[in-house]
Amino acid sequence: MNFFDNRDRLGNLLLLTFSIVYLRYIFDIPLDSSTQDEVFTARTLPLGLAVLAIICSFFQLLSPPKDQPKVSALFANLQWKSMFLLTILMLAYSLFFSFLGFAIATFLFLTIGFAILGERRLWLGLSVAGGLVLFLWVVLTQLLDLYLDNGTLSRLLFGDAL
Amino acid sequence: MIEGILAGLYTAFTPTNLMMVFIGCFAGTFIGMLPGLGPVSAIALMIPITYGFDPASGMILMAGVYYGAVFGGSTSAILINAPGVSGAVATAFDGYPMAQRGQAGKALATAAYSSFAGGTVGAVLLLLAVPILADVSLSFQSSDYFALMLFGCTAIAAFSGKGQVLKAISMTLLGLMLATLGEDPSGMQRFTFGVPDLYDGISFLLLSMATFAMAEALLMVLRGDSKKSQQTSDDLSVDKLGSMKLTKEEVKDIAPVVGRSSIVGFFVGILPGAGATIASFLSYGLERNMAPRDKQRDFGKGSIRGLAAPETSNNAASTGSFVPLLTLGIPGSATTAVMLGALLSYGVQPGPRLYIDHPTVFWSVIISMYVGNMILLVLNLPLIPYISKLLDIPRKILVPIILFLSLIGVYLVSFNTVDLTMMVIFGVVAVVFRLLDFPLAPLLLGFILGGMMEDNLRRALLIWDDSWAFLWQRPITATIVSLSLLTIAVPAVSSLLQKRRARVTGKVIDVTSE
Repeated sequence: MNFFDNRDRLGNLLLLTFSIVYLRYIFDIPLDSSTQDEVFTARTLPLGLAVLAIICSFFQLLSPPKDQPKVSALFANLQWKSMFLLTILMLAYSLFFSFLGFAIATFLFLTIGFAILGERRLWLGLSVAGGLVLFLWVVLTQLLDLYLDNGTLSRLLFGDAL
Repeated sequence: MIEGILAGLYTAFTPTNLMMVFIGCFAGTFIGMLPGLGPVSAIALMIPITYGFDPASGMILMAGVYYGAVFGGSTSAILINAPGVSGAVATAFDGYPMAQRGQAGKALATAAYSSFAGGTVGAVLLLLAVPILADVSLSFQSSDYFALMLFGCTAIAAFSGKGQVLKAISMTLLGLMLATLGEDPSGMQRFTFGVPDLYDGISFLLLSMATFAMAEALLMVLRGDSKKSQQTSDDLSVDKLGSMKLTKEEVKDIAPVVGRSSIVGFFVGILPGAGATIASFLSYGLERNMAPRDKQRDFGKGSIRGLAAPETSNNAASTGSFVPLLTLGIPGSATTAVMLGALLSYGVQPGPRLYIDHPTVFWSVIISMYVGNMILLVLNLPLIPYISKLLDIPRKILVPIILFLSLIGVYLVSFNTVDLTMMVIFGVVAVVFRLLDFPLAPLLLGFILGGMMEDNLRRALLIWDDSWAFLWQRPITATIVSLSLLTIAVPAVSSLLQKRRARVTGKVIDVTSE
């Protein structure tokens, strides 16, 4: 595995993998019977790009490695746990946004986000989150006249009155 | 043209638009000060807010944000040696030493005056160059546009850092590949896997927010910056800034530097892919070489010339980068790529017809750039000690807010939560590529140019009866394609030659040591 313990090689491996998968799915692009024989179809550009990308990343992958810090050493000193938790939090925000609505989802997102990054003063987290939600709600819905979903939960609890 | 300028002046000076420039400069300065968040993130964050605006006001706000962010980047470079944007790295070389010896106020004033001068010269050159170039480009055909977009893609790769050329090409290709997702111009579904949310492809806003604003915030978390306290309060107190006045001798000293750097910056800025960073380093190097020997020694130790050169140049380059965008509809940098996306979303097609079809948008944006420079000088400079207090917000509070603003920014445009999920995935992938030192600006540029490139290529083939001969038979196309090949070939060949020379030298040393 030492072969890929290099930033350039690992990056190029990722690009090569993506390009091969992309190339595979080019052949699933449907072609209209009337355009099949044309010089330029829906597959032409993707095919050209995939071939170029594969050549480019393959060439770099086989080039002599540069003297770089090892990926394992570089990645070892990073705060993966916080980033992982924040990523899960963002995914949860996107999944539950329609159910909870803008106000509740955002309030929870910010409060939990502050806590993940080590903000222990609960009153501060709650007041910043609450203040920001209120401020944005007023600006977006009242000043800019944008629609913000109140969420299924609010509709279940309060009906369409909100 | 005069009518257009007058209409632009009228639009730019309406109270609403003046307010837009002011808000833009103010918000841009604040965002640009935050290390990692540059003009691209600042503009991307503004796009959802400007969706309901008319195109002129939206673009004016964004132009203000752009200048504000560049200025903010320089401010943090001078005060805390943390350039907010790469274009301000050279500013820190002499700006920070000046601040350390108690001349922070003078350094900030020099940066502001130099930026203003660079912006002014840039705006005048833009005013002169754009109509001429736009007239010339009216004779361009689809094949020429295809070639120009190819040139844009190769140029950004060629101007990326040493050893980054191939990586930048790979990332441009990745951007071009991502642009093919969704319905193609003939109505065929590509890579949608039957998922209706993918039929329209990926939105540029989603990708730019994920790769810049969100990725930067996540990188702050990964590197542990979110747990560090800010170092601004002590450094930025009003008392510690010192005088903001320049002496007559200092003004005389920097005047020729500012003149030269403005012109260098503007022309470097025009080149697709070059931008403010290269312009600032080029001017810094040029001025160091041209300075008298006694002044040369001061470079890197707090030289006022060393500060004025990159500051003038990066602002002039920012203005210059609007030339390809406004005349050809081709963005030369990630920032102008985001602006191009914004213009398209307003239903405005940038290019040679912009100043004929939408003269108000065209001229008001150019005039607002100048107004933006004035606002930065007159209002932002005195406010710096106070604006910088906002940076006392701890990162552990700031990071979740940036993440939230990125997410809600994308949601407010599409009202589709699937976009948010996609954005998180792209954000994480962008973080991985950033950690592996792969540049993301070429990805965004490739993505933005991809759709237009394919459209123009199809049209060119249609005009030329399915023949690729336009690539060598049409002079303009052939010239631009040759230039594109040269921009890629020259750095690659010179790098190979350097390696060979190093190998030969190594062998000679080996032989002599034996």
